[in-house]
Amino acid sequence: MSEKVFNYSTTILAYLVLFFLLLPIAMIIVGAVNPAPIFSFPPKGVSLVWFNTFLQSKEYQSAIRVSTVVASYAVVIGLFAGIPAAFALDRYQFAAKNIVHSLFLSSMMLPRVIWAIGLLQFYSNLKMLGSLIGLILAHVMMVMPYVIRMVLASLSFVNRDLETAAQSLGATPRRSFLEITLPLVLPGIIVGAVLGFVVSFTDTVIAVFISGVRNITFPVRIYVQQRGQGLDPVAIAGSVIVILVIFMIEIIGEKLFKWSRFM
Amino acid sequence: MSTGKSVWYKAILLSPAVLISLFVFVIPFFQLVIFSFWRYRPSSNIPEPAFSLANYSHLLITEGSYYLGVYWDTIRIGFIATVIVFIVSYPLSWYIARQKGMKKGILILLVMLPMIGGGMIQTLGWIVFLMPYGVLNGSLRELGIIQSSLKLLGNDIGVIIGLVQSFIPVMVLPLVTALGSINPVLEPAARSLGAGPWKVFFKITFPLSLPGAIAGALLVFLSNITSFVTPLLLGLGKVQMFATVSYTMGVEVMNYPFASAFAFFPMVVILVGWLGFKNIKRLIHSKALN
Repeated sequence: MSEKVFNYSTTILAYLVLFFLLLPIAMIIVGAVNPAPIFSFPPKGVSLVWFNTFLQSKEYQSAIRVSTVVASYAVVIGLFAGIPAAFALDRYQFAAKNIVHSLFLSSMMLPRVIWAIGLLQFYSNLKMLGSLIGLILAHVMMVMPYVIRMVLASLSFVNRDLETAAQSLGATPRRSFLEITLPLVLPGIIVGAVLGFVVSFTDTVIAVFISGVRNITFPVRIYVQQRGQGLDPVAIAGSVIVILVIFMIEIIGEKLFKWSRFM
Repeated sequence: MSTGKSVWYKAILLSPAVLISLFVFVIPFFQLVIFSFWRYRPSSNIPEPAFSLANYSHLLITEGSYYLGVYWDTIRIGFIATVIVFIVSYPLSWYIARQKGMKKGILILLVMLPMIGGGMIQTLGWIVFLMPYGVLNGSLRELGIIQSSLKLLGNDIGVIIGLVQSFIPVMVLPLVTALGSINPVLEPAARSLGAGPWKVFFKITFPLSLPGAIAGALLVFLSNITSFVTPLLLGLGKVQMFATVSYTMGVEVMNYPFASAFAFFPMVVILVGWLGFKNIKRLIHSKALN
């Protein structure tokens, strides 16, 4: 009897917390379909007009473009730097290995705001404030921990005997790497890349501190709008689209790679 | 597992990552510390090199009442939010830990969604919900439950709500792992000895999950006290916390030396506190062994 009460209460509490957790996402959907230019509840109707406005809006589309460009470059460079680093961490010994490992993960561990202040001054000194390359490099640093972590996790699942077996059957080290190791590590690489892309795309703090007026990313655009003119239904509609895309990415990732096991 | 590779080979593998980390992270951080001892020059962005504690004295003494107040408010709000996160995460984590297969995967995806979506989007949702003619106030007014809107934005309440929701995933994910790693024979064993499910939870499950839970809670606390977008937008500029004041000092006023001191001082405190905590732990350990 007490068992049933316990189970019911924990299940209900669990779903209440989940409901609270997802409430803001439900709210932006409610806000995005409200046709009134100034939001109020109850709504006077339901409409998709703001989605259309968002897709036509030059400022928002430009912001989406900037965010996509920055995130893409950040991921590519992050993969280029992170994959070899992960291999080195997994397979080789070297001096100060722990420190180096922590260094790579540091942007994920330390508070972003403090890093942002340091970066602000550093870039200001180098006259790099507001530059695209500065923003991209900062985002590379943000993306790298995710790439390295996921590749390391993937590597831990790779049985080294497989490579030894392949080579004992006559494969060159290069071939055993390309045909055995790489395919096994690919899920980790893809998960790290996609996660890194999303982290870069949705970054607000670093971008707000260092991006200046020339390269306005999507979150910065929303931030400026919110601080300046208040709640903008176009921004809300854009956010709904972004969240939907992220959710689809999550589902695809789970179906293809079961990436929740990496979390 | 060294395979005798040369130093050069390892260096090549590591160098892009190391160079980027040094340039974009380590050096700016050191510059922040150094700048905190330099003097502010209103005319240019580059501060005057010096070795001066002027910024720190300004921070802690001259305007200490304000800035120490900001630190305190940040800790206070962060602590309250962390406690709430700790409590509400348990039922959800416990439930998820008990699920299997696809259902568990979907639940984890849902929990992760706000975290990956980012604070900016969540904050917009909260504004829609909490604003004077938003979903909450609008519904309550329609139902006649209240006459005038509840003031939930521009104060601690809205910020705490936002912070709690932002960081529940940060607590839930490690807690699910912690709960899942408890030896599966323990709970049935306790039940077979006659303990009811509540007793099993409080005497077996909860204590065993505590290390993971505390680690999660520390991470949540750190995230709370350094949060930027949530306090700024839900506080409507009226709630001053660590990150918002850092922004004002750094980006708006552009007083880099002072902003550095403001940002670096808490790190000193945390470092000292952490070292002290470790040493106290070691002391207690060695006393216990004797």
